[in-house]
Amino acid sequence: MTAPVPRRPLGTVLTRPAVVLLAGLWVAGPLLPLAVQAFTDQWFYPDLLPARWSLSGWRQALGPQSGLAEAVATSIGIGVAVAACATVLGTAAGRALAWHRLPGRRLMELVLLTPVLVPPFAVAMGAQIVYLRAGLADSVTGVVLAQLPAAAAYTTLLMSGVWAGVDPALERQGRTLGAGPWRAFREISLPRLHGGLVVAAMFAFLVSWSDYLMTLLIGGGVVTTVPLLLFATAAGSGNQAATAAIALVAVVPPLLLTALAARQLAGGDTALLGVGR
Amino acid sequence: MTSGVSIETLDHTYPGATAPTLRQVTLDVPAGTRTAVLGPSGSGKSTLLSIVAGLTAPTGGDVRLAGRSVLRLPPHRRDLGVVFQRPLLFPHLTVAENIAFGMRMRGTDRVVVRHRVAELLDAVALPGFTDRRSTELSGGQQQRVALARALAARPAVLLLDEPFSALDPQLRGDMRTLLTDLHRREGTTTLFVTHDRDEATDVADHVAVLVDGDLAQHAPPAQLFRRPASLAVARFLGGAANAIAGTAHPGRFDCALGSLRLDTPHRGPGLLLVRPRAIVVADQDGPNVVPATVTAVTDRGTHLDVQAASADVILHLTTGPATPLRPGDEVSLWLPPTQLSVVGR
Amino acid sequence: MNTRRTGLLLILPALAAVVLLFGGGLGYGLAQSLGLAGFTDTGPGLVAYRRVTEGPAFTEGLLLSLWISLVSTVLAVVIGVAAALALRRTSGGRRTATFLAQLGLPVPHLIGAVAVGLLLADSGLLARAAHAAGVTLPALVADPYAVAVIVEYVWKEAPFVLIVVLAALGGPVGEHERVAATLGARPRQVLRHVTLPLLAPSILAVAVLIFSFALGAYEVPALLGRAYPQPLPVLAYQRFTAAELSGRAEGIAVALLIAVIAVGAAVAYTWASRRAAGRVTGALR
Repeated sequence: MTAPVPRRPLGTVLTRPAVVLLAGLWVAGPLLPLAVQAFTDQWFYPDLLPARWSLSGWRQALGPQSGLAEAVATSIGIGVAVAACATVLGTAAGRALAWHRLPGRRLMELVLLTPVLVPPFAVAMGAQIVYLRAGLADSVTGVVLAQLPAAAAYTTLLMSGVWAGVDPALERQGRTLGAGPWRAFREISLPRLHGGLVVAAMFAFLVSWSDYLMTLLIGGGVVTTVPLLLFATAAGSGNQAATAAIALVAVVPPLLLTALAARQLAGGDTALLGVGR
Repeated sequence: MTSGVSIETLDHTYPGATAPTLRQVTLDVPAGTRTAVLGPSGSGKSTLLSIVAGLTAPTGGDVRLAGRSVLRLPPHRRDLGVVFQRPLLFPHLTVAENIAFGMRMRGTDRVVVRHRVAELLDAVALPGFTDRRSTELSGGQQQRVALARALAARPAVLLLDEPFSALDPQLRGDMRTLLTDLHRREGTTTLFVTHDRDEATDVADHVAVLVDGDLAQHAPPAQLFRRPASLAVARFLGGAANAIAGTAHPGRFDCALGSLRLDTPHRGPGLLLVRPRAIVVADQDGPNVVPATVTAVTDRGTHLDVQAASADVILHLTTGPATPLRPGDEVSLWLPPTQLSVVGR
Repeated sequence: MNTRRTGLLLILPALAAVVLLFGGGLGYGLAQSLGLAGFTDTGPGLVAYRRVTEGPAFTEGLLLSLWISLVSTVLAVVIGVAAALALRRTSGGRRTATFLAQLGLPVPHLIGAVAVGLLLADSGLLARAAHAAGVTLPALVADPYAVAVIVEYVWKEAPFVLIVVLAALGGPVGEHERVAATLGARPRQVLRHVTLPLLAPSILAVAVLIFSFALGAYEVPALLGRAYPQPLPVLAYQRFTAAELSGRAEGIAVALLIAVIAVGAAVAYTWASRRAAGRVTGALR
């Protein structure tokens, strides 16, 4: 007698295409209209389709007076600087949290978490005068410093997890074979951190890439990054095609970096919280 | 009410696998008895248990509880208790709530539940642990709670999947005693999966040996050792140190050692099996006594491991330290007929 | 090698960055809001707090902020948890769905706000589609219920909940569910008595993060909200950048009040998570 396969114990079974379609609709739903809007010119309500497709939105967004190219350059520059600093800080702090006995460890963890929990602008407003007095306001350096704590908090969180997966005994073994502390780190642990470092740097970059309010308050409108340009265009211009075009430019790095790093991303990475905020 | 388990010509192959996990396994566990499924890792014994529990679907065959096919029933309607290798106590519940879980799911009266929980806590020697959390218990204590939890709702069948293998040896012995005591009290039909032959023979009244997905033998423990059904069974039970090729006839076995007397249902070409401990150094001639020359002796302290050559056959035997043998000694070895068994080649 | 000193040396730079750059700003902001430092037209005291909280703008803003945060959190959690539980039962496509959810996570909220604005505005795609279908929609952007703001938060945060819950489900939850089934629990009972209680800590943690984020975020309500009442972050920014000198202290005061609520939620969570097991047990009785 051939037995029938028992029913699944819980719930219904969605098929593969349905699942992918639903997830795709959810994620792409609001983003696809952006892509449509960016190529429209005259699209009067209540027409379902625009009266004319055109590249005028792109022309305005990319044109010399929009300043998008400069904003992208500024954003990338700040992002790379923040990513570099935060990754170094996070790698060191993550190692300490994962490998070392620390006095007052819980307090340290709490302090490192404050940038995640406290809304950043509560800080930015207070910090503005400090930056002004230090001559750092309205400067790229000031914006990098202002964005650094939040980015460093996330890289520390992430790297302490990565370090916990590396066996400290390997470095000890290296030391017995004559390697100094730095060589032991560079030649033994560093190769094993590689994937984590890439993800940490990527997250830090994205934290910086998304930041609006810190940049606005500390940069004083002088340092114009992509989010500042996007907000100004969206709120002030009424030019929906140009707004959509800038938004599309701004969304490319996050999507691209996440897609590239998808294999490195562990499902429950706490550091995911930081991205896009 | 406890009930019997009948497993009938069960087949199972994992999707994508070339070799089946289980092949035509038929096993009958009468109500109130205990059967251990014994096998090396990868023999398919955990899959067998998982199929009975309803957690894995077989590719063929049937499972009957109390004579009724349960293959179409999901696990929660099979009236079982299962204990896995890890205790898997619900971390959000106290010890008492864990034990009460099955009864609560069945809507048992609260007073009855409280009474039964107290009774079982006593039975597993954890009185006063009612309000403890599972994280506060040791591994052995957790597994005892898991055992009580599985039995609490008086299931028809108790399934145990290597329940003690994560515990240290001392504790394992205690748990075997506890399980035997619990069975005496509760009388639940028990199917017990293990890779440890001492555990199997200690806990169960019948042992089913599973080798590579085939049920090789199902018999009471003593018979398993005395009359292994195949070379594979004998190997797994550690009784294949001496395997001598020959031909079985009614009442005798002809081989290089001569014609040996024994009682075997086997006919034709086969392997004679005799355990090293069963071979006796004799001081006179007679039936089943063969001359041999000692070739190697290893002193193990409590006994000697001896190798002796007889007509090109190397025999392995153990002797007490009072029989000081040395390489080169000529000896007579008695192979007691009741200790000899024959399996197919 | 694993000495305390080395550990301290390694963690010090990150701590310093947070304490000086973040804590410094926080402390200096506090001093300004209390009239102790910076540009101020009053003496020390709670003047800024009193001034900014006395009008209806603050009360209504606070209520609006709480409404937005609570509704967004509840919807995101419900949708995310339901999706995770459904996704676990699917025959395939889980990896693709998880990948898609991950892909959406790093999209900045500002871009989400722009996109949702284009979708839900009075002349947006949804309104056009509704018109074609002969339906007239109420205003969804800059409306009294902050629908567009909530939609943006839910759109961004539900996949986040999904990923966290899927990760939590990857642990021993499945094994516990199987044990419950063998003990006679029906699927519904398994969900209620085992799955949800075991997921509770992760769900609670995610809820707190979403709540405090939604409470403190500026760009989304600034772009999609109404001019009055304004949620607290928008109010804070308005006061901070107002022409009069006293505005700065008032803006910081509002920002710090938001921070207090956000941190309060986190503290409540820590307290709750410690008692979560007990609470769940109580609820079961």
